[in-house]
Amino acid sequence: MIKTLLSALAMTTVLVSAASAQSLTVGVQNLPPWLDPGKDFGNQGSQIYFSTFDPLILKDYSQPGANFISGLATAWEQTSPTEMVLTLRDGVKFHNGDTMTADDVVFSFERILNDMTPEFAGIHRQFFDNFASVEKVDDTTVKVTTKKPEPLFEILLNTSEASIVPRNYIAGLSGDTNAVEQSDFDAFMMAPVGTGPYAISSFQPGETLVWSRFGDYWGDVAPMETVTLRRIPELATRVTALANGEVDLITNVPPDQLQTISSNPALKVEGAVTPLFHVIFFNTENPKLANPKMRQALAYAIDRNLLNEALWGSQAKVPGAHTFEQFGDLYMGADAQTYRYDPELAKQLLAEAGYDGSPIRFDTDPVYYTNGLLAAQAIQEMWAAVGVNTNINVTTKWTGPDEDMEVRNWSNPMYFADPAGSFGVMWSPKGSGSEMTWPTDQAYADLWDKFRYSTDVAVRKEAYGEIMDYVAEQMPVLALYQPYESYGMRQGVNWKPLPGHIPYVLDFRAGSISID
Amino acid sequence: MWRKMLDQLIRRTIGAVLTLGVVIAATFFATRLSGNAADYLLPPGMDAQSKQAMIVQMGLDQPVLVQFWHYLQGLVTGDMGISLYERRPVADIYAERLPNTVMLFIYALVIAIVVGLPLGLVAALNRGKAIGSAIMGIAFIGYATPNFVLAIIMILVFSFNLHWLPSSGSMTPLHFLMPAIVLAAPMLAEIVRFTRNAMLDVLGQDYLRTARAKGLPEHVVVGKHALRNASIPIVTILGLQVAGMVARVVIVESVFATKGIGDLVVYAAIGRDYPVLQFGVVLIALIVVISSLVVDYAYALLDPRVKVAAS
Repeated sequence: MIKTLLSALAMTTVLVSAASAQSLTVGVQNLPPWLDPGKDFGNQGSQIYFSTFDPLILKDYSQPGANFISGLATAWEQTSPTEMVLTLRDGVKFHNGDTMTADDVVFSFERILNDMTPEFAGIHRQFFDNFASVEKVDDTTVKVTTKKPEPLFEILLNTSEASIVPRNYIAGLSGDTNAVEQSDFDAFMMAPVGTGPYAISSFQPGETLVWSRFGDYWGDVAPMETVTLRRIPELATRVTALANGEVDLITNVPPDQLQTISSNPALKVEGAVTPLFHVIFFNTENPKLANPKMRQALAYAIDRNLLNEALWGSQAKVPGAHTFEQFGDLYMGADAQTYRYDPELAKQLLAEAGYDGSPIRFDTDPVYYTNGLLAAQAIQEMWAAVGVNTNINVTTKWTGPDEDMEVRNWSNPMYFADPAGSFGVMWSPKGSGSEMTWPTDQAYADLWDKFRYSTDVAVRKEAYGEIMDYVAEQMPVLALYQPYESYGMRQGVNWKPLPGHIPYVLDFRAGSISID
Repeated sequence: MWRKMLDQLIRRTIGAVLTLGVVIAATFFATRLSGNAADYLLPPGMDAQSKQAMIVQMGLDQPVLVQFWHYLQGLVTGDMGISLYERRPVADIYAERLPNTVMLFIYALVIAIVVGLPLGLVAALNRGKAIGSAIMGIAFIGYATPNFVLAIIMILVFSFNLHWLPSSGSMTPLHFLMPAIVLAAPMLAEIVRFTRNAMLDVLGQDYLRTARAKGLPEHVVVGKHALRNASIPIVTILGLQVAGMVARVVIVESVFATKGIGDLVVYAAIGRDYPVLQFGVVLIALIVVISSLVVDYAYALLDPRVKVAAS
C-alpha cells in the first residue's frame, strides 16, 4: 500500500515540476527585497533589472567590449564635451500599456538628480555626479548636460540605474494621483513597471518573482513565456532541487559543488570569470598599518596564483592591477605590475617598517564571500611565511568603518565598464572605501579628476596608470582575483552568463537563452 | 468553583502578559546589541553621506531608549513597524508567511498524533514482545536524530535519489510532507513513549480489572477506560512539544526553503532587520504562552480532579 501511495506521490511531483520549452524555473540564492533600478546597485537587484527594464542605450553583451546599440534611444550625438542629444524610439510601451514619452525619460533622471530619496541620492553621487540636467527638447528628443566634460556618456546611459520608468504610473500609485510623492516610490518598489521584454507579473520579496513575456515589446520578443525565480538560500537544497527537476537552472554554485552537478548526466555547469574582485583592504589610519611599507609587505607576501589554484581550481583570474577586460581601451592587460608576489621584498619591507611581531587582525565573514574564510586562512599562512602573525577574526559584522579594523576582505564589483565604475566607486577620493580607511590628498584628487573627466582616451589611460602606481605605493587595497561564477542547469537549457554584463545579471532576452 | 477558575485564568493571563513584556524588552535590546542594522542592510559600496541619510530615514540615529518608546507606542496601536530590509509593513510580511507555518504545524501535529498514539498503544499492549521493542527502538532513534540530519537524509533519499518528493518550497501540499515529517519526528517519538508509559500505568489499575470483570469487550476497556485516563500526560507532552516545534521550525523551514516565519526570522536575524525580528520573536513567545495556557485548561476538561481541586 505504501508503495502505491509513494508512486502516486511521485506522479504528482512529475506533474508539478514539468517544464516546457516556453517556461523556465530558476533557483536563486537571493532575491532582492524590493525593485527600483534607479535606487539600487546591489548584487541581488542586478539579477533582475536587465530583463525587466531598458536604458536609452543598450550594447552587445556577448563580448566584453563597449559596442553600443540603440535601446530606448534610436540615435545619440555628443554635441559638445558636456552635452549629448538623444532621439527617442517611437511607440515604446511600458508593461502597463502607457506609451513612453520624453517626460518619462526626464522624470527617470530627475528623481535621481533631485535626490528624491537617500537611495536616489546615493546613485546620483556614485553614477551621475557629473550630470547637471536631463531636459526635453521636443516630444522625441532629450538633451543631457554635464558639469564637466563627460567621457562616459554612453557607458552611464547604458547602466540599469539609467533605466526608464513610467512617470504617470508611478504618480498614480498612491495619494495624489497626479503628483509624485515619496509613497509612490515605496509602492513602485513592490510593483515595478518597465519597458523590457519581460514584465514582472508576481513579486513576493524573499520568495518568488515571476516574469511574463511582454507581448508589446519594441524589440525581439522574449524567448520564454514565463520565468519563475525561486529563492532557495541553502546550497544543498538548491542543488537537490536541480537534480530533482524542480528547477531548470540554479545560481551561485561554489567550486566544490561543480563535480556533483557535472557528474549527473542530466545536468551541466556553465560559468565565467565575473567582473568583480575579491579584495583585501587595509585601514591606513590604524597605527599598526599606517606605514605604507607595512601594507606593501603584506600585499607582496600573498601568492594569489596559489590561492587561485587551490581554491578555484585555477578558474578564477588573478589581475595585475585593479583592471577588467571590460574596460576596453583602458584595460591594463595581464602584465600590469601594481600587484605582484615577492616574498623576499616583503621581508625586506617588514624590516624597514620595523614590524614588531604583534599580530595583525584579519576580519572575514564566515560565508558571505565564496572561499572567503579559506582564503583568509591561506593568507594567514603566507604571512606567517614572511614572519607576520595573524589573528583571523570571523564575524558577520561589517567592520569596514571601524577604527580598530586592520585588514579585511571585501568585494569590488564593476558597476559600469570603466575604472570609474569599479575602482572609482570604492577608491576615488570620495569613494566609499577611501572614506572608511584611506583619506587622500589634493594631488590624488587632481589626478583623479584628470582621469575621470578627460575626453581623450590616451590621457585617461595614462592617468589611470599613474593612479595604479600610486596604489602600488600606498597599497590601500589589493585585488585578489576575479571569482569564477558558476551556474548549474539541466541539459537542454542553453544559457550562460555573458561577458558584457555587470556581475549576476540573469539575461533571458532574445538570443541569450533557448531550451531544446 | 467557576470563580476560582476565573481567578486562576486572570492570574495566568497576567503572568502571560508579563512574560511577553519581558520578551519584548529583551528582544528589542538584544537585537540592538548585536550590531548596527546599517552595517548589514546597506550595500557596502554606498557612500557615507547616503548611508547617514538612510540611517536617519530608518530612525536608527535616535537614542535606543527613544527607539524603544516609539516601538512600544507602535505595539499599543497595533503598528508593527516597517521592515528595514523590505521597506513594507511587518504585518504584511507576516500575513504572507504565517499560513505556511500554520499549515506545517497542523500537518506535523496530525502526523504525530495519528501515527504516535496507535504506535504507543500497540507498544504498551505488546510490552516485552518483539513488536513493542521495535516500536520503542524506532521511537528512540526518531527522538535522538537532530532534525537537520533527518531533513538532509530525507532530501537525499526521497528527492535526490528517488525523485519522489519535491525538496524545497511551499507551492503545493506535497511540498509540506517532508518538512512536516521532520518537524513531527521528535514529537511523534515523545507521544509514542508517553502513550506507552501512561497506558502501562493505567493498565495495571484496579478499575481496569473491574471493567474487564464486568465483561466489557477489550476494545472498550482499552479505548474508553484506559486511554481516557492515560491522555493527561499525553496532553502535557503535546503542550511542551508545541514549544519545541516552534524552535525546530526555524531550522526545518530553512533547510526545505519553506516560506514561513521560521525562515523569515532567520534571515531577519542575519540581516539585523530589527522590526521583523522583534515581531517574530514576540509572535513565537505568544504561541508558546498560549499553548501552555491551553494545556492548563485542557487538563481541567480531561481530569475532573483538577476541577475538584480548583473548587
